[in-house]
Amino acid sequence: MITDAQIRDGITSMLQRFEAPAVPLDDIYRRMSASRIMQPDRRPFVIGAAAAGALAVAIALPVASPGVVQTLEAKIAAILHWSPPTERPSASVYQAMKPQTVSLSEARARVHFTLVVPGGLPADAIGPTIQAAPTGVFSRATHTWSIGPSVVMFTYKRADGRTFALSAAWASSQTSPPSKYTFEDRGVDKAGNPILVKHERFVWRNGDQVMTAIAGHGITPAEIAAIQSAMHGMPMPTVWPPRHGADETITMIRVMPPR
Amino acid sequence: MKIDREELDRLLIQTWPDAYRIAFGILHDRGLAEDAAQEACALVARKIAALKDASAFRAWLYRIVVNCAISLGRRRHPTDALDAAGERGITTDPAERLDLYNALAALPLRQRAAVLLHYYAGLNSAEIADACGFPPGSVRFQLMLARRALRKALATEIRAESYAKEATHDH
Repeated sequence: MITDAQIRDGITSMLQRFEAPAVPLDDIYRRMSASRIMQPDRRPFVIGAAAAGALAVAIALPVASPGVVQTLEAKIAAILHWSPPTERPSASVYQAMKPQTVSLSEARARVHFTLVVPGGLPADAIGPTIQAAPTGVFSRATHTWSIGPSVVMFTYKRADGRTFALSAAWASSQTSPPSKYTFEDRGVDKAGNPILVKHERFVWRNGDQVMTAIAGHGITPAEIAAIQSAMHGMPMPTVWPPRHGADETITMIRVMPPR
Repeated sequence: MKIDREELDRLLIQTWPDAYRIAFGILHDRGLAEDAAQEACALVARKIAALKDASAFRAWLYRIVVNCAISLGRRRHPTDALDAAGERGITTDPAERLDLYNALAALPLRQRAAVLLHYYAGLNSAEIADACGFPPGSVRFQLMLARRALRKALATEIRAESYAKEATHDH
């Protein structure tokens, strides 16, 4: 008969075998001051400028007069060499951006480019779970959000529990060079300051599909290079800072854990 | 509890491994566990000044960690692909090969949390109910179900260890 004491010892000894990573004091203090509510299902990624773990910047944007906003925008631009959208998507646009888990054939039906499935994945990658999501597009000219073409996200789980995603989008002939970085939108802190996390992205083309991978989100740059090579993808040069014209658009993808 | 930055650093360094381990015990996912543990430590850092009784710190910490982990875990929905990973027995951590680990992983989220708070943090069912917002009767019932599964797993593990010892002895 196994006693309660044996269960206690078994659980304690098992937990003590889990090796904890180094204490991320900086991240903890950042969260402490941000006081954010954990909402992993509300983490849109701003692409065209958004990708993992490099730089978190708390910036103050709205809740101010236009003149003040202008000044703050200039400060943000100086830090990031890029300024995020001045407005957040409306509730209706945000709702429309919600990703849906789909089969491969359903995903193919939702996009008007030839969907090429990722290959050359890390040996321990399990999946994918496929999601399709309309994008949100912000126009700097009109300061408005609209619904853009859908992207398809392939999400894989790794043996150590991490996940990574590859996103496929339509390579419009008018697309300007993709930006080198992408920003993860982590909401706002207590004072209403947006928190953005900057990530490096890797982009390649297969026919009329553009595939994007974000280093650090469960995948290394070398592993991304192996995928790109296995897919015979044509690497696309990225630029930073992105061209900041009045006609610039910023694309946002809403990321939710696959169901 | 009045605490300065240096003391807070030391406290976080000390509490981090436990926070991470408990979160991992509940979530069975390194990335999510780190996220939950970070969030819990940030809450601890923010609210430590309001904690009146220093001796209640450990139980208080565990409650925060468990609540952060449950909150994250509820938003995660396992997929068929993840189930397939389990079937293939893909593991990287020696601890993950234990029957007890698998038995814990197979428990529903509430039971996992109750088990860790009871057996690791030493909380009784009333305290667990208070910490997690479950009815006390439900905690006792969840613990009973969890015990059944864990006893079976632990018995298998102990048998396997004793066979291994015998085999070593024979050689």
